[in-house]
Amino acid sequence: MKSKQILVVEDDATLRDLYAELLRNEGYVVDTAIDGGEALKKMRFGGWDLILLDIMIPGIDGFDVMNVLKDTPPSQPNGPVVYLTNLGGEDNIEKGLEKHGVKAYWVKSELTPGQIIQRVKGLIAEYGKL
Amino acid sequence: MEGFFSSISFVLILCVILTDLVIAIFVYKNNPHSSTNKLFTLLSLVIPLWLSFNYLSVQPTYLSTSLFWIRLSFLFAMPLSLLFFLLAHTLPSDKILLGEKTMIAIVGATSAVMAIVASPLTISGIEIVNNTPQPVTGLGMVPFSILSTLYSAFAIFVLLKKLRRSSGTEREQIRWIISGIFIMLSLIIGTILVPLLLFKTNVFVSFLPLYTAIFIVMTAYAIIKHKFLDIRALVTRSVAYTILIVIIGFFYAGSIIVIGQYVFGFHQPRSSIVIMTIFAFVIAYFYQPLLREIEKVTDRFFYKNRYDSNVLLAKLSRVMASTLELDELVNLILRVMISEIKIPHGSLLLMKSSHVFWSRSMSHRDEIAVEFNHKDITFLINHVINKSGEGILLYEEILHERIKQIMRSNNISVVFPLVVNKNPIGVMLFPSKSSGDIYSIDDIHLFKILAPEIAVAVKNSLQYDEIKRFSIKLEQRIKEATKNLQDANRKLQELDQMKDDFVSVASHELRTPMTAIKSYLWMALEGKGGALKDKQRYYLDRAYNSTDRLIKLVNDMLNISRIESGRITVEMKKVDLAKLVQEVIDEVKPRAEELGISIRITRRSNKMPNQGSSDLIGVRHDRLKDNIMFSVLADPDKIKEVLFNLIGNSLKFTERDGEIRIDFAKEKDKIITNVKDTGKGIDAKDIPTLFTKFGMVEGSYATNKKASGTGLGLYISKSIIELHNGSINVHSDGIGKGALFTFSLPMYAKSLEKKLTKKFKNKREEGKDIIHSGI
Repeated sequence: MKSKQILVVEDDATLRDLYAELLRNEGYVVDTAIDGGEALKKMRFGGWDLILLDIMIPGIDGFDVMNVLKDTPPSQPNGPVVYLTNLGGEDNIEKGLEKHGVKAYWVKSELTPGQIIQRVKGLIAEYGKL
Repeated sequence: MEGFFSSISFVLILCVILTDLVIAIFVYKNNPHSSTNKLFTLLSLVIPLWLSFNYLSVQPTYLSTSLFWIRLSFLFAMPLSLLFFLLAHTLPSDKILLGEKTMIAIVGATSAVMAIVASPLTISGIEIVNNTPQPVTGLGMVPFSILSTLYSAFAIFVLLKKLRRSSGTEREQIRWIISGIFIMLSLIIGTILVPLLLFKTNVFVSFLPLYTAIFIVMTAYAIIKHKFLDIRALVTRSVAYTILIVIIGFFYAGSIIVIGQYVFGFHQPRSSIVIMTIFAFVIAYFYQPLLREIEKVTDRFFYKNRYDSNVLLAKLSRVMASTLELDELVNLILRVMISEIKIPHGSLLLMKSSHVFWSRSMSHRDEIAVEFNHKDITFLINHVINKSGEGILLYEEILHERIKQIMRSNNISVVFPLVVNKNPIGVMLFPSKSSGDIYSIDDIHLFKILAPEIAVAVKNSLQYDEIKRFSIKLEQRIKEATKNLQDANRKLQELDQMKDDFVSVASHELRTPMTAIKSYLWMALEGKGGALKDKQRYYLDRAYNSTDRLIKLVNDMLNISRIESGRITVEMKKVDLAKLVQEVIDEVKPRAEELGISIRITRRSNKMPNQGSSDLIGVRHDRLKDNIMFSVLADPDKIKEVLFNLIGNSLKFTERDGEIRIDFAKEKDKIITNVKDTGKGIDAKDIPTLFTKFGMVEGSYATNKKASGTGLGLYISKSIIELHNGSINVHSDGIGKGALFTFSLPMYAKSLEKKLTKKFKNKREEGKDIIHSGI
C-alpha cells in the first residue's frame, strides 16, 4: 500500500520539524509549507491524504488559504484539512469550520504528540474508507 | 305736592343726564374702536336728549312750546329704538354684524318714519288734560308704533337668543343687559302703567329717567366688564366727577342768586338760574378734555417742537421693559429720546473706574460714529462723577471754563450722568436741539426723572450681558472639559484595546514555544529518544507538568482578558445539564480512578441541597430512568469549562478513597448544581478571596503534590456563571470537612432563549474576524 501523504503547514520551525518527524516515524510521507503562499501552491497541486493547516501563518493566513482554495479547486483531490492552531478556546473557529470545508480544529498546546498521532491515524483511516 | 314732584323730577333728570353723559364718555373711551361701545355711547347720548324733550313737553311752564318738544320727543324715540336694536344685535362684537344693504334699509326706513313723525300727520296738536299737555295723535302713529315695536321686539328677541347660545363672559354680559331691561320694564309697568290705568294718576312718571338710568348703568357695566375694566374705577371717577360738577353748579347758582339778589338787587327768574346752572355744569364737565384738545391743536400749530413728556416716558418705559440686550436697549433709548425731544443725535457712554469702555451714538435712524476727544471726555466724565450730586450739566449754565470749552468743541449741550446706587455707570451726551432751542426747565426736569430709570435699565442689561458672557465662557469650558474627558476616555479605550491585543498576541506567541517544549518533553518521556533513567524521568515529568500548567495559565489569562473586555461570546442553547456533567465525568474518570476518587451524579429533584451535610441521598445517574430533565439555557462549552474547573479542584484537594458527588435541584426558575467533595475543605477566612483573580488559597498547592493550578479557574468560572445571570457559591465546614460548590443557571424557557440570544448576539460570526480583532 502506498504511503499516505501529509502536508504540514506550520511557520514555527521547531514545531514544523517536530510534527514532520512524528509523522514520518509513523510511516507517512510528509511535506511541509512555511507560509500561506507555499501552502496554497502545494494544496492546489493536490493529492494530499491529510493537510494540517496552521491559521496564523505569514502572508495569506489559514482562513484565506481555504477561501481561495474553495474558488479554485485543486487539480487532484485532497484529503481532509485540519486546522492545527494555537488559537485556543475560540468557539468561533469551530463555527467557521464547515464554511471553510475544514474537517476539524486541533489546538496544538492541548494535545500531546501521542494524541496528535492518534487523531491523524483516525482521520486517515476514516478518509481512506470513503 | 306738585311742586315737590316737579323739583324731584328736575333733579332726577339732571342727575340722569349727567350720569348718562359720564357713562357715555367712559364707555367710549374704554374702547373707541368697538362698535358695541360706539352704539352704546350714541344710545346713552340720545336717551338724555329724549328724556329732556319728554320732560320739557310735560312742563306746564312751557305750554307754548309743548308741541315742539312732544314732536322732538317722538322723533328721538325712533333712533332710540333703532340704536337699542343695533346694540342688542352687535353686542359684544367690535363690528356691526348687519350687512351694508340691511343697514341702509333700516336707516332709510327709520329716517322715513322720522320724517313722518316730524310732520303734523303724527301729532296734529296738543290738548291740556289735568293741566298737562297731551298729544293729539294722527295716522302717522301707525308706522311709528310698528317700527319702534319691531325694533324693541327684535332687540329683546336677539338678546334672548344670544343668552341661550352664549357662554362665559358673554352670557354674563347679556344677562346683565336683559336684567337691566327687565328691571326697567317692570318698574315702568309697576309704577307708571298700573297706577295710570288703575288710579288714573301719573305721579311716578317723573321716575322714568331713573329707570332708564338703571338700564344704562347695567348695560354699561355689561359692556365694560367684558374688557375687564375695574368697575370701582368707573364708580369712583363718576362719583368724583359728579361731586365736582354738583359743587360747581351749586356754587355758581348760589353765587348768582346771592350776588344778583343782594349785590345788584334784582331777582333772577328761576328758569334762567336753572339754565345758567346747567351751562355751568356743562362748562365744568367739558373744561378738562377741551383744554387738553385745544392745547394739542395749538401746540401743533404754534409750538412744533414741543413734545409730550408723558408720551416720551411711556415710550421709554416700554423700550426699557422690552429688552435686556445692551445694544438693543441703548439704541432704542437713544432713538426714542432724540426723536421725541428732537435732537439730531445722542450718545451714551458707559464707564468703569472713570474710563469709557463702551459707547454708542445714534441718529434718528442709524447708529453713527460721533467723534469725541478722548481726553476731553475723560475730563468731562470725571467732572460729572465728582459732582455726581449736581446731576445734569447744561452748557448754558456752566461756569467752569474748561468744561464749557470741552462741551463747545465736542458739540455737547447737555450731559447727564447715569447713576445707580450712587455709583456712576455712564453718561448721556446730547448736542443742541435740532431747532436750535435751548433745553428748557421742563427738559431738565424730564432728564432728572429719566436718568435714574435709564441708569437702572442699562445696569441691568450690563449685568445680563455679563451673565451671558459668563455662561458662554462656562459653556466653552464645559465643552473643553467634555472634550478632554472624551479624549481621555478614548485614550483609555485605546489602551484597554492595546492591552487586550497584547494579551492575545502574547498568549498566542507564548503558546507556540510552550507547545514545542511540552511536545519534546513528551517525546523524551515516551522514550522516543531512548530509555530514561528514573531520575531523568522524574525531572522531565516535573518539567512536563510545569509546562502544562504554564499553558493553562496563558489560556486562563487570555480568557480573563476576553471576559473583562466583554469580548467573550456565549452561545445560549438548551442544555441538559445532567448529560453535560456526565460528559465531563467521563473525561476526568481515568484521572479520578488513578487518584482513587469516586465521582458520580446523584439526583434530587426538589429538595434544596442540605448544605454542609454529607448525607446526600441519591441514585446513580446511569440507573436513573425518570423523566426529570435539568434543562438550562446556557453555553455548553463554557459550562463544561466551569465543571472542569470545579471537578478539577475537587480532584486536586481530595484524598484517595474520597468522593465527589454532583446533584441538581430546582429552585424557582433556576437549576442549582452542587459539586460536593470529601476533600480538605476550605478555611472560612479564605472563602471571600476564593473567587477573585489569583485568589487561590495560600499554600494550597505547596502542600499538595498532585495539585497544580493557575488561581484563575474559579474567577473564570464565576465570570462565566455571571454571564449566564447565575451565581456561584462555596460552602465548607472547615479544614478537613470537604467543600461544596454550588452554581445556578437559568432554567430553559423558549421566551428566555429569545431574550438572551438577542443580548448575546454574536457580532463576529466568522472565525476570520477573530484574527483581525487582534487575537
